[in-house]
Amino acid sequence: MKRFLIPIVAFASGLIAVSLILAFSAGNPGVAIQSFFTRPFSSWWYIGNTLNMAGLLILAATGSSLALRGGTFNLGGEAQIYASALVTAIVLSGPAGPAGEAALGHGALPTLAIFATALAAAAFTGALLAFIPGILKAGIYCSELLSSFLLSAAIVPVVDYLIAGPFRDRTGNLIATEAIGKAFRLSPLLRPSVFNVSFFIAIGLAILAAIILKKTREGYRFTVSGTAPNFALFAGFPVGSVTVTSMTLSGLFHGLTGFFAITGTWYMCHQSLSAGMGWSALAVALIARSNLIAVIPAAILYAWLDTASDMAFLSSNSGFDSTSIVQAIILLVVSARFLPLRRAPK
Amino acid sequence: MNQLIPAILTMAAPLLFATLGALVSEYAGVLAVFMDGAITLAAFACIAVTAVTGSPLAGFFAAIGATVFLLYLIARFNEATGANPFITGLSVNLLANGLTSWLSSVLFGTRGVIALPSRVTLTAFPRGTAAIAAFAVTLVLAFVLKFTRFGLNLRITGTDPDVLASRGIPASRYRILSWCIAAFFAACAGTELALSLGAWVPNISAGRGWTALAAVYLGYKNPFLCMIAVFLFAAAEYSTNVIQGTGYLPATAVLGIPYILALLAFILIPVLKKRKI
Repeated sequence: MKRFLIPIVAFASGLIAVSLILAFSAGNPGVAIQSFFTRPFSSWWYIGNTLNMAGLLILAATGSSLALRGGTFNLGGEAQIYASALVTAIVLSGPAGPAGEAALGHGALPTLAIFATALAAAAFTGALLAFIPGILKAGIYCSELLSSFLLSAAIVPVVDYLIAGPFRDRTGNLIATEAIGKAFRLSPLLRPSVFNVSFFIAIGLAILAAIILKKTREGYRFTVSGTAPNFALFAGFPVGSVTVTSMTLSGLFHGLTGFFAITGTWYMCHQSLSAGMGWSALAVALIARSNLIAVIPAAILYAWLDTASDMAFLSSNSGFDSTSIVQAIILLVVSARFLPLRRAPK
Repeated sequence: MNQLIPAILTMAAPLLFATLGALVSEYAGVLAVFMDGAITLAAFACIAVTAVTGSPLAGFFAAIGATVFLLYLIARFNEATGANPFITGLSVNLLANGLTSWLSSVLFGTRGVIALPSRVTLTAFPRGTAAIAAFAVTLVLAFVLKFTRFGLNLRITGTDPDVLASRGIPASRYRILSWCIAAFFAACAGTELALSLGAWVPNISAGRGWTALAAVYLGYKNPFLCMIAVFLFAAAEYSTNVIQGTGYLPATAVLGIPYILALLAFILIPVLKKRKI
């Protein structure tokens, strides 16, 4: 029971924070709080979209957890998701998009090959952005906490610029890339929501990763190097390469998140698409205590909390996004190693 | 040239404050990752209170009060629960973004710029005060860290907390105190940024909190070397402003430059240190 305490307290504090903000800012707090609890379940549109968001979070949080299990912190999730989403949108709308089809002729390039290329490119982009901090840590002991964050903070404005400048779709008012070709869109399973197969892929990958960590020799070395690096060094395990692998894998999962965000949810890369998803993923991973199976329910709950607060703020007309406050409070609580319920003996 | 050096010195002032705060926390072994968020919060508190009371001095004290109180609570939380100070520091950054956005919409009905009314003249802080104050404080801090018992204890907190404990001094007290001092300096930086602009804008710190952390490492944790590092960063900031003005570089992409500079500092320092050995 004890291990559930911190996650429960974390979610409860998130709920309390949202309720307090609503009570102080909404014109009619009663209505806002009611819509907080009822609206997310009021239609398939909300349920589907919440689950879809949960799917993306499961992928990204699996990435964050893999970093934690390998003894590293990946704080560059934002840029890893954002940059790979842009790469996906570029690949799927360039030669494969409407303009390309007009030039090359319909079906000039096989759909599946392009789709696979985009997937590989997105995964590579995410992985590369995390590999750099990983290799810096293994090679010159440069803290990956700082380097992954700083690299991400530097990349985000560049992606912003690319979306608003060279890759902007000039035909629309939205600051976004051109939409991807229809053939590349994952078809919605729960209309009218965008819920799609990526939710199940995410769960499958999280379970697969959990099994690999638990049942294989490599997985064992990975977790031991992460939790007890000195012991692992003594045992002759390759701790340095585990550092690099855990960061790279973490980035790869964030890259996949960016890929599915485009192919399954938004179909184009708009500015600030990641919108805090990297931080949410870290919060989910910490709530789940980096247990890859626990990531699944934690992400679903977190996505519900996020959608519910969005709904409540929309209904209150305050047009405010509470995401970062909720993230802050949940991160704060889950970072606690224990709760001081009883005073520790001196 | 006559304008260049005063311009760089003025730009250096908030960064120098932030760097001193980060330095104190680094000595205590709990790097102030929250610096960027704390600057944003302080700037908001300063402008909000100045706008209401009409007194920049009241704004300054409000900024100090709000920032130090928040970081004191979080530092106490860290000690009480064994929380990772890096993660709680990051959560302050997220909180600062959300909280300022929410408060500005609730209190001022806007989520963008909050400008001070023109009747609020900024006579409380004449131009150049902040720069002079920052340099004076650097001298004082260097002295305190090097020659006082407090400074010695603070430095031991980061390297050998057990030694302190064996002498009956709880290291946690110094860790908490170091965050309060860092928050105080963040408030100085935030106030200077906000009052010199006469307004609060979202993301007012513009990565300065992170540059400050880099300056601490670039200055080998020595107050005077840190000051030189701050000048380097301020000169870099000045030149990026000039470059931005020419339009050769896209304005949005330039926002990433402080982070790249900080990252380069973090990468280069271990490499340079190895060479020295």
